[in-house]
Amino acid sequence: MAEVAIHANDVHEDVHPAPATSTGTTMGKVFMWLFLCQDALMFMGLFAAYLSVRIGAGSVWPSPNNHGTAEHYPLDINLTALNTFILICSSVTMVMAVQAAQFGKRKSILKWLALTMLGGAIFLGVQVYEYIHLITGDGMGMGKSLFDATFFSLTGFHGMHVFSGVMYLGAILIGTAMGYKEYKQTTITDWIFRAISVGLTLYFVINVLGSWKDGGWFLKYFMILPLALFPAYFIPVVGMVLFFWFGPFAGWPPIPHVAVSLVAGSLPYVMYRGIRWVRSRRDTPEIVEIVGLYWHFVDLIWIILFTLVYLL
Amino acid sequence: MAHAPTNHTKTYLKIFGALFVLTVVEVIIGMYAISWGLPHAGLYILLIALALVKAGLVAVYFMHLKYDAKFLSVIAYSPLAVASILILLLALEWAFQPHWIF
Repeated sequence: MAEVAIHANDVHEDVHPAPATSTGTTMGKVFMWLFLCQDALMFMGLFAAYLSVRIGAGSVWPSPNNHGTAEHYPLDINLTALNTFILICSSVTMVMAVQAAQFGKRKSILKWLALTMLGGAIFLGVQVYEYIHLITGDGMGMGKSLFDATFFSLTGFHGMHVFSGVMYLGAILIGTAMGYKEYKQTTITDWIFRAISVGLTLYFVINVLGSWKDGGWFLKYFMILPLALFPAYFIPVVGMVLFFWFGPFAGWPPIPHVAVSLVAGSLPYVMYRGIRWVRSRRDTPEIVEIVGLYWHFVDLIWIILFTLVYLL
Repeated sequence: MAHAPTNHTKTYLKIFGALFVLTVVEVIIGMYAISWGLPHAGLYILLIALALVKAGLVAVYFMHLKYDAKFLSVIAYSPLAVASILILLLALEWAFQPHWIF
């Protein structure tokens, strides 16, 4: 296994920039922008649904601006404004990481990426604190009211993006720190990480289904194997089986819990492959620019979300 | 990077300052403007305009739409067309809501 690690502080001599296409830019950036467009449309749907119920409710809706509801407004605007500030800060550190990558300053990339991840992690921490406070303190919940449902689906969907962003940044950070390496098709490390992911998925799914009150025997003995062997790929198939077969016959199954188990279980292997992908590439500036686009998009969505959900 | 990279640190810090100030202004307006006598319609338009300005700053400067190939701007702004069609169609319905906020 040929191993060429870069020990130099600066990477620019070893960087092979990605070629520009007829679009005037690189494939990676074009495709990240296309992905962000479809993601923006998804958020647009959620925002439009939220605005519809918000406008339909009018002055009955809990809002800091309505005289009837301002006193009982459950959301803490100051805390969330602080959170917005933290996310804006992490956007600035991200753009500094992109600049460091363009100048080929490796140590600088690592420093700014780590700070960006820290910002994202603090943001998530505050959001978890807020959720716990709202759910246990104020008795809010997904099915309690339209206000609660739109609040949790919008902020939760965005929080999921922040979580993916922190994982994405982590893969870039670790991959850049470890340096370039040539890989074979499949290595023993691949199998180790596959085993870890399969084991973890099994553990999660058995836990989830074990707590499902009745009708779980079929799942326990016949569904777990495909679930565990093909995490992520089988979500739609398994989801459909759960929905159409077990829905009517055995009580509604914990589909969201199974989906979360599959994603969480595949995480070690996905992260390993991500780091491996970063290490096998020499176009570091391009890779950092692309993760930067994603991270700024998450920040951009939060700026709009904060205004529409918290302040309106 | 075909050409030599340029140092934009000063621009980034200016944008950071602008985002910070706009966020503070937004929170203050959102919490107190009604008690200063601003009508609800004005408040909503003001808040959404401020949010769009902030989002625009992030897209243009942090996401490098200003510095990158114009093709990326074409992709980036295309959802706005779809969004405006959706908002326009929904506005037809919103205008006839019994508790219309304006």
